[in-house]
Amino acid sequence: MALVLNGTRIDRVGVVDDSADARDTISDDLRDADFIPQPFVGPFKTLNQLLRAVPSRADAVVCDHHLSPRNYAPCTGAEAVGHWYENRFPSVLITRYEKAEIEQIRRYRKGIPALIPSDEAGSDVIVKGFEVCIGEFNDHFIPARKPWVNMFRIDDVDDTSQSVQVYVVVPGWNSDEAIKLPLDMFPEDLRKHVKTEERFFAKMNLGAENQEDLYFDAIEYRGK
Amino acid sequence: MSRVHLRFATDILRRFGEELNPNPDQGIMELVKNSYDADAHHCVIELSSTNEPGGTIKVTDDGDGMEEHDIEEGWLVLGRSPKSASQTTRLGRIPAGNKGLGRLAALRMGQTTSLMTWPRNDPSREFQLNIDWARFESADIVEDVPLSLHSRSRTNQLGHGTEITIYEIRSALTRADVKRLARGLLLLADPFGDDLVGFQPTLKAAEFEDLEKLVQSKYFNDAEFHLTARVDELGRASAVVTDYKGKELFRATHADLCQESATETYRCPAAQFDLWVFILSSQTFTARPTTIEEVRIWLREFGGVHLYVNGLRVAPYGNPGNDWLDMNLRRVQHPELRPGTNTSIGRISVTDLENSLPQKTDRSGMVEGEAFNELKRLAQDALAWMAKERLRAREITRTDERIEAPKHVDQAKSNLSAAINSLSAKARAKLSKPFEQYERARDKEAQILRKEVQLYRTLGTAGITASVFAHESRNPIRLILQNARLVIRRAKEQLVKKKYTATLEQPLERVVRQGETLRSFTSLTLSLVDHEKRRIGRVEIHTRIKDVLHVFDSLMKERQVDVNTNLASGNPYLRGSDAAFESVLTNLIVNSLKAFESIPPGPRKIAVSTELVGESVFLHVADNGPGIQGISIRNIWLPGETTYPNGTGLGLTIVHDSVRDLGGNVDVLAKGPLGGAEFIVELPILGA
Repeated sequence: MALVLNGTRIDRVGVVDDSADARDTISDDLRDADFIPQPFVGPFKTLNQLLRAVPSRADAVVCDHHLSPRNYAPCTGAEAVGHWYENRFPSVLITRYEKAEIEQIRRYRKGIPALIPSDEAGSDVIVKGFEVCIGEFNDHFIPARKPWVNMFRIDDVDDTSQSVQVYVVVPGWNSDEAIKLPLDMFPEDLRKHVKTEERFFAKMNLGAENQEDLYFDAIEYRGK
Repeated sequence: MSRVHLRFATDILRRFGEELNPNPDQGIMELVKNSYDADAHHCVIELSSTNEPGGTIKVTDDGDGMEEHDIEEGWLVLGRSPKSASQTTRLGRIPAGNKGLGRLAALRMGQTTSLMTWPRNDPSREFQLNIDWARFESADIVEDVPLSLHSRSRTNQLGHGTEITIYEIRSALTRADVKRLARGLLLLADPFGDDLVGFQPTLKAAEFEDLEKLVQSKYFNDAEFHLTARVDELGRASAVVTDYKGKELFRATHADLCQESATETYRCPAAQFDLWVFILSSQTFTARPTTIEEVRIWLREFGGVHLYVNGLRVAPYGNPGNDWLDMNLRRVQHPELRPGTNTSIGRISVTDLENSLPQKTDRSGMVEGEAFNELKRLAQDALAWMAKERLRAREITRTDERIEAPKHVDQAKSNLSAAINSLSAKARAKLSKPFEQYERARDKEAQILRKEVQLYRTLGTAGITASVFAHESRNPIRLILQNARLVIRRAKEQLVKKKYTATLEQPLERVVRQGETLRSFTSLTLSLVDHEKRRIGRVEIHTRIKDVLHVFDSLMKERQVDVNTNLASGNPYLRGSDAAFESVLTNLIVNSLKAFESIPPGPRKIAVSTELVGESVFLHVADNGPGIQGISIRNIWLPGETTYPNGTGLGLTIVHDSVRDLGGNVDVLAKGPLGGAEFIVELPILGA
């Protein structure tokens, strides 16, 4: 089955995963859905090598988040998918959907329209992910992904460990829930303003149902 | 028919004497016990020139002395069964009941021995007996050597008692012998309690005077806790712990103490166990007239639990190095809650009228029969109960402190603010800024500590959960693997080979492979939490290294890591827990695995090696990761410090703490021989 969406045709689907068994499993599933799986055996010495290799042999990609434990690539899947999204290459990210992992992914979340839990990564879910992704390339956002410029407030700053973490509250989304962002997600020149009770603005998908799906893009500080 | 007898060669005297009682002090103690049995109040041991062969030992008492019959049928009879404990002496003492073999050893310490005795029942007479041991050596059998007992009338009738003099001793008494003798004499009749039996032997020697002063110091009032456990004639026990003011802290019924079952009794004679427990910290002794050092020296000499049967001490229980209740072993596991032989002193007093606690013939302690083992169980149960109660009390105190601490801080803060406000405006302005800075720093420190505690708790919970899940996963994993193999077998039987190979073979092989991986991870988790590994004992370094690497084997293959092991020849070992050592190696390996994730793909290497240098083993763990970067070497050991986004920052803290627990040091090179970090752990060993 070839998938054609808004003029984009997908036959060959790249499979990027540091586990051979996982690559083969997803490939078998895609094959059963009449795609042509293109498993990438790796290893990739650099992120760029990976970013270039996949579009040369595939029309879209299914990428796992963990790529470095098994000597496969020196980056995360989230980084790679973020770049492919910017280059309008259809991609979905498979993740274990653990909280710590989601926090790590947040900085790339704007460029990851389809985040699929690994135990749901069947061909039908992957296809839906490609649809959302290609839709966004054509400015068609599903409600849960549509960006809005909105205010958020700094609730707390945890500077007791090597990497400083900032807890923020987005009143326009849910004023009862604090969301953890690493300090380095803020532009460098704005970091001096990151203090409790300070207010910032960003493009956010306020239609997201869960905080795991929230993204913060183009963060700005407008003063007191 | 002719009448014949069993006869004994004179060699038997040596065998039953010195060979059964190898230490000279042990024999002399038997003579002193004879004085006790003779109702003596005083017994004096004089040593003249005993620091070299040829010296003299004299033991004199003011006991009831002996008449001719007592000498002939008692003193001269060796190996007779113990006297009946139910027949008490004139003063109501229960006879120590020795078989006379220790006495034989003592008497034979010299070339000749003299006995002088003045019987209380016949003040007009005195008896004298001399034994020349050389005559026995030239005779064939014991009975061939006649002994002359001289009976003389006394005119002065000055008193009663017995004097034994051992002339021309064959071997010198060393300082250690004399010290042991002095200690044995001082502790013989329970000098610690209030109900003294009215018998105190004295040794005329400098060593004795020093020790006597020390034993009389009695620092019992400086003890933090006093445990008293009793068991009655029916085997029912109870216990109480009081504090240094005598206030009752904890009380135990029989059921609280007896861990086996409340209906189970202690099958031993009635006994009382007293233990005084000291907390040897300068904080405890600040407001006391006694110094911590005085108590420490006293405990070093007399600490431990002594055993008194019918009023007299039984060696070796409570001797230096004798930890018959395993107190020190348990203290290692719970140093805050358990007393050791150097931090406590105690006694178990037993009245044993039925002779259910017989002593070994060579006087090396009790025959370890049921009554003795039950007595030991009582003492150990009482110690375990006290530790539990102290733990409970400590937790209550900690909870209270946690509640009270913020209130104290607030109070102190408002006192300080009031003091600042009372100053002049200029002084106030000068102080307020540094005060605010101090407050901020303090708040941050508190925040870090709270976070650290939370992290330990979270990881503790994660560990518990992981072990529960690992345990529970074993069955599902086994079923997944069994069923996958069943499907493979049936598919092969029922499908055309070509179709099976094209459609099912690989997916099914993947199920089996992943199932096996899962099974090995489960074993890894369970092996880390194995209870036995936390026991203190001999840790064989090389065996532990091989075990840990074996457990990691499948993970290493999966992560494409080549592990090179190069262990020194020999089998170095130390005292500690397997868990402590495995924590070190496991965390270093996990650290290397984590480091590999931040470098480009390529060959991954870990080298584990040991070398023996003097009394230490050096464990090297090196990798070809990126080395230590983004963090200063000094900070890598700090809890919570990590360069990995999801790292806990605890792995290397655990390495550092575990190495310290094992008495060693750990160092690190940012760039080691393989290009990545190298950790070097030095551990003191007991042997190799």
